[in-house]
Amino acid sequence: MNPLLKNDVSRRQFVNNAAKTFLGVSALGAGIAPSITRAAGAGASPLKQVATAKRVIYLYMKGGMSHLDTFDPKPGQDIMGPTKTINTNVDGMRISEYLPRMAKQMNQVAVINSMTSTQGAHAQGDYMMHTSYEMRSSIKHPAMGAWLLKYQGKLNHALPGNVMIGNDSRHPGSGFFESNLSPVMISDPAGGLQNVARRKNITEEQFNFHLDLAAKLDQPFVEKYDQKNVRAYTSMYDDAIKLMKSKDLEAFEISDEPEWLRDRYGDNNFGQGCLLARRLIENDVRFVEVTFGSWDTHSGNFLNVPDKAEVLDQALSTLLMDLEKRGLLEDTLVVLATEFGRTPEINQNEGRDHHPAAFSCLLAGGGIRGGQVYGKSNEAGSGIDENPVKIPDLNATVGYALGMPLDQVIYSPTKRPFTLADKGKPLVGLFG
Amino acid sequence: MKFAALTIFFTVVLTLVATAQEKPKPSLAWQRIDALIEAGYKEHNIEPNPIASDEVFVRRIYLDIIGRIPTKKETLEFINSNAKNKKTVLINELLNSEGYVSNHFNYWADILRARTQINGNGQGTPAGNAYGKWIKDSLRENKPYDQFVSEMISAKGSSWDNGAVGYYLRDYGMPLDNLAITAQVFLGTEIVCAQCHNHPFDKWTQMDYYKLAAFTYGKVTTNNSPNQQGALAAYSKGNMMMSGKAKGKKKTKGEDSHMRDVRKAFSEILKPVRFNNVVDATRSLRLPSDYQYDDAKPKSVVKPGTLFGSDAPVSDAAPPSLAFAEWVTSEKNERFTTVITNRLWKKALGVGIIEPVDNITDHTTPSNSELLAYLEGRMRAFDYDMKKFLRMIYNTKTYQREASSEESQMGVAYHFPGPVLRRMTAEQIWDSMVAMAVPNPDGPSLEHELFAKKRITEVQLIAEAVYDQSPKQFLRNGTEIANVQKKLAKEIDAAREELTAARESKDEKRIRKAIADAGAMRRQLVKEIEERVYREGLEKKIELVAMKDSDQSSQAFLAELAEMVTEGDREVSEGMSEVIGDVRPNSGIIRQLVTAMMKDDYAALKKQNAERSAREIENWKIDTKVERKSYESFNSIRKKLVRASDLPSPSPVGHFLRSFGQSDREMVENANDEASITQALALLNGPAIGGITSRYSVLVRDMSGEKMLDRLETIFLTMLSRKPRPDESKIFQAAWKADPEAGTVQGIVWTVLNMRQFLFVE
Repeated sequence: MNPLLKNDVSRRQFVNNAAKTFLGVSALGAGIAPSITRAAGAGASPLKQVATAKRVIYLYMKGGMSHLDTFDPKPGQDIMGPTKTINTNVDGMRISEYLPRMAKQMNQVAVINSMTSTQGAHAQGDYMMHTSYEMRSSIKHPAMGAWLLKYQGKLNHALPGNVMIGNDSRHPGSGFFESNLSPVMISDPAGGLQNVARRKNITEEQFNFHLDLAAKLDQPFVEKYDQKNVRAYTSMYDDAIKLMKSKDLEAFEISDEPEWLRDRYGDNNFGQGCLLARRLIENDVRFVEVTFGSWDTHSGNFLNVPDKAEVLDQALSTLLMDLEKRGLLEDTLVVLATEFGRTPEINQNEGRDHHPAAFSCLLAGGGIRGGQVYGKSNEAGSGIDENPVKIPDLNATVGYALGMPLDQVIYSPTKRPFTLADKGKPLVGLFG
Repeated sequence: MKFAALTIFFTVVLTLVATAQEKPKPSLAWQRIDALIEAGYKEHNIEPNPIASDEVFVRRIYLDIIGRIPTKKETLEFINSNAKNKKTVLINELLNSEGYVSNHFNYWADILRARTQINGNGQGTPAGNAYGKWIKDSLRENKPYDQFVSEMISAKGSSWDNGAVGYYLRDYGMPLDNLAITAQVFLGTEIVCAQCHNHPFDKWTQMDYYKLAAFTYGKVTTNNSPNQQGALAAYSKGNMMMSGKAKGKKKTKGEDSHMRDVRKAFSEILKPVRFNNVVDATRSLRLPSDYQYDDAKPKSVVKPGTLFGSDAPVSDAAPPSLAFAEWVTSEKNERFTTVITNRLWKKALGVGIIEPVDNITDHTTPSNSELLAYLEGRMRAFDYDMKKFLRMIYNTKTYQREASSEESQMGVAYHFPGPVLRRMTAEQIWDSMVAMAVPNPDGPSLEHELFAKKRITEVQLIAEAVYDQSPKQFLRNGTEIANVQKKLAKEIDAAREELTAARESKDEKRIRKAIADAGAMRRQLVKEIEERVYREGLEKKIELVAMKDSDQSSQAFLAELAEMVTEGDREVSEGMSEVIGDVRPNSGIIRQLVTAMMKDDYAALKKQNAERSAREIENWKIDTKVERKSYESFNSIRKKLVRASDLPSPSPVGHFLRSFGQSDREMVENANDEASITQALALLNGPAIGGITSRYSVLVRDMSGEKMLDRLETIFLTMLSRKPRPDESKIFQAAWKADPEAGTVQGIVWTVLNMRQFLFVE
């Protein structure tokens, strides 16, 4: 160990400095990194509120979820094809027949049926939904999980603060922020976090013994090169060991859940991913994204959507119920997002094409009032009639729920100014 | 410029005349550089670091030039050599090896954001492979840097003819961003802010940006099919004639929708050749509709104009991008030379003379102006020969000093008492593991080359089949495919009904089958297109290849190869599910033809692998059943342990390389060397150690017959390029004494792997 760290006070200071250096946050308090510059008058912002949510489960429907065949059906119209509509437990709210379980729980969610965007290609739409900004090859913007850690730090210091279930190499991650704010990727929810267990042929004694040996042998090097990155490795090794030994690591073990509950979430990656998300949130992981694709139903829309919807219906309804039962829904915001909707017009392949002009997203928990529909698409399902919501507005609403400063400017290393939801305005009416 | 070679070894030049004014006394270029650096020491009162030991030097030079640590043998060869010029000899040797290509490919792929899947979604894989190959070929032939850049900026044509088109295809549909990258990467000039408004921190106006962008705005990425337009024209014409002929038949809604169907069919047919062509179109760039400055009206056309230096007059005979390429790469364009000089200096020393390397302004002050000016002069004198330039730097005393123990601070000028301490790049760590496990680790991997070649050949064949069709022929084919699509749509209907029925019956098996049937539809469509459209265009080629392979044994051999091809695909592209999802049906004509055309390549691969196995089985004395089994498992490890430059670029998320900060290829120079928990976990508990300590790894074979203390020495020589110091040996011996079971090869390797010394380059 670094001889400078022999007493507790200096060690704590070191940890704090390391946290500042590597995470841009202060471990001693909910401080904000010095690199963050306030815009003039930002302190008096009306856009700041007390957080109603501490954590987020972000469900991303990759490929563009058909709004008409899920949460914004247009009963009795040709554009619906064979999709039928059913009543829900909220008066006057009707959704697609493919979501029978959610129909009994719509009192828990706020549906936004007036999402609108200009990004009609997957990569661009996906990027904008995650960052609020248009995709540029000259800058990468941080996604919401990174903003949350940047502003508010971790809640559980042993576990990673930002986790993504499902593998996506195009995820914007931490953008221009420190890479440590990027989500830790978990491609298989049942497999959990990679490499947290000792190799089978190594006993705990051997492990500790050799770790000790490595530290001893490394001491002259570490002392000679008392540099930021060398220290960072020492501290990350400490964290890794802490994580390996942490009881909270059990959070990654979905096999600890009762079988009936695992079944209820659905025997598929998304369902199990939602279950893992709940376990992580329960252990105060800040931000968990679960992706589910592909909704890109250019052909066979009415064959594929029911199939996807069934998986979604099962997982989402169980997740909301599970969170509520555990008292977690109160301060956990659940978001259901997608890059765009799909055309009302049914193409020759019985499919629907990309349609950014109108689509639907969902919010639940974390201070959101359930059982409401916000905004309205037109009768043809092709455009917005009432209260259009742009992607940055949705992200601003998420930021608002988390009590993050929406108007605070952070400069990229190239000195370009950015805020967490660009120019988005939060939908404050959804709360309470 | 005048220069002369000194001896066989001293290929680096003598500086006779640096500029007309100053007349330095004749000395080697690298000595001149040291003198300029030493002047800086005096001026800033800096004590230089001592010259690094042979051990430190050999590890660093291998990593810097060929991207991996040296093996025990290579380390000892260097350390034990008494030759006076051994450093120079080694530098030359490494620069001329294939490892240089691999390592510098990783370096440039990060700068250029070169992706194997050039456009995501599994599309553009042929172009991505062609671009990667072009970069590697350019490095292999040591293409002068100015030519390298010029070929990218002026690139046009098809990916299979000219891989450099990847430069534009990489930014498909984002020409303005592409231009900003060009200015940043090659001219060290950040103008991207000026895309939407005048630059807030620099002098560039939005007009400057648009004028510069006007040079390359004509670079259009297209499916390049003239017959599509012709076919559509023929269709409208034919349609009118038809409606005239067919009595009483009016132009109905049905006909319009038919036209739409045919269009869709065209786009299906041409889909594989999308993202493969760049053409010079006559296309004018207009200012945005919200242009807010007085010098021009919104939406007005912008003429090309340069940012600084001389003009780049555009002639009518050549596309503007050509004039632009000449301007960018001209010796007279000072920033062009400054950027590459500074970049390569930084590559060797870890810090640039100007920082950051790609944001130079009028106010930028180099930490040592004289040094920079001298180096720029060398760069020009070398005609932008990057190897010559690097050779010069690696021969300086400055480079050969110990790394600084004190950290260089951002914003504080570094005066180069030596290189800075660096963490190995993700690729260097990975490739070092490869070198510890696999013999001849510098590649390139033939498997990977064939995989790339196959992707490129496939798309080339399809283009050949389609581009030569007459508009009439193309129209007929489009109509036919439109009908197929329609028929398939009906089948979807049937499948949907079947699924509904299956759902009602709650028969899981039936449901799953219905879903799988729907999934097979897309493949069926591709196959229909291959049979009905591509086959026609390839008839001659099919005949030619078939004639060559008419006898039966050859057919059997072909079938065997076809299996190998598929097998190879699976292995090479492990983790590239997106790519695999996009490949052609195996039984299709394109796949068959490619297999037949690449018969000799695959036969050579097969032979090479068989010969290697025979050789190794004999040399490594593999006799018993257990040994054979170990050898087989080593062979399967070897397939995965190929150099990073032979893996998909970038590697998929979750791969070792990505955990250690390999660039995602989204941003310029986006690799990072920051610590993360995932990295610590990967080294503590990950599978990496398995390959290094497997029975037939290079490291383990180097230890055969050795006693424990010698093994310790071999492991240290392999992993840290030095013998253990006496105090280190003592620590181990004491440990082994306390617990005899602790003295295992695995234990020592694990220990060293988890030391900072392993990850950092002194």
